[in-house]
Amino acid sequence: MREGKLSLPRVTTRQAETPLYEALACRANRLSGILIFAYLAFHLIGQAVLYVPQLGGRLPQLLFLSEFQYLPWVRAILFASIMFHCFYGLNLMALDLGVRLKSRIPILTISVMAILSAIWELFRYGHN
Amino acid sequence: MDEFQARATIFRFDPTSGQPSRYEQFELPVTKNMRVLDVLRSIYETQAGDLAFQYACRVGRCGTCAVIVNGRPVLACQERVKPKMKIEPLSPFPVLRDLIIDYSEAEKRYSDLNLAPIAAGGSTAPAQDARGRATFAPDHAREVGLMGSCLACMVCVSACPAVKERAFDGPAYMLQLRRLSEHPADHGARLEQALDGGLLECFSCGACAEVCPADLSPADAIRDFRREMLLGQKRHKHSNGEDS
Repeated sequence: MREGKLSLPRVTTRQAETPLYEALACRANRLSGILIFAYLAFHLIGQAVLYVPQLGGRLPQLLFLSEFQYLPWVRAILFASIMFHCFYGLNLMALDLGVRLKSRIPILTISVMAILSAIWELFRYGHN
Repeated sequence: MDEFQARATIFRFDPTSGQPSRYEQFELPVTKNMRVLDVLRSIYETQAGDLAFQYACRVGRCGTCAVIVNGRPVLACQERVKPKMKIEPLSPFPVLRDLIIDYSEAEKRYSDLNLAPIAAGGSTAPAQDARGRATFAPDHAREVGLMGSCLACMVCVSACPAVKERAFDGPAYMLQLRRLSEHPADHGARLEQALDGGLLECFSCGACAEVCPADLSPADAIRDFRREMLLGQKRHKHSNGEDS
């Protein structure tokens, strides 16, 4: 059924020898979602500490957050997470709507896009 | 023959002893072409005569010997031996003893799903053409037959992260519901049954399809159900042209 080549009676059984790429992608999707929310929390707290004088006065130890969110590697992780989470979600929606793709190809494509976006973001900040 | 020393760490549990479960290590010489089941049999014959495990066909047809090896559910008779192996019973099923799990809940679920074509108007006969011949397109019949060739080994259920985290029956049941849904003689409300079984709880991670020893794809069955739910269409139209 998977490859459309099988016929009955079955002559072989298969055993997955490689890593479970789809399961790994599912975990990566979850991790990227957590990272996006974590960044959002840091961003909100950082901006609040920066722009609300009373809060900044009371919690000066959190002032580093306003700088932290602009660190190149933080932005790189954020962009990679957004890219992966967004396109992996679209991929799942497409699958539910009946698009039949070899699952590893979109996952690989999305992973490469996420990595390239992270590199691009690092490169961008490196020149500023 | 490439011979090497393997170390197997095996889950042990004896409900009659009153002791908690534990892991026991065994070392034994193995050859590269041996399977995990050969290792278990060797340990049983030479080192631990009280080791409980089950198998039947030894050629990957029956699904009886399913265990978890190094965290991945597999058929012991098909999985190649590794230098270090951690062998555990399938989760999340209750353990009867050592590597033997209680399948009764799985069997009850299969039974509750009523996995035989449900009649409409007293007939389960497939649609017929003008000359009275059953019209079950060969490709369609082949696909339904393949879905029916599931070993019911529960490897996919064990690998499914949604089963562990959510109220999801498991991929194996969804595959069988889909088989009936695609069957032209069946008129049961299979989509509703699938929804009751947690169709929407699936993460779509595809782990079930990756581990399935029968090379089936419960993930595709779930996606077909979801598409049917969203678009109101089945992938196959019955051969008499009726869109079921």
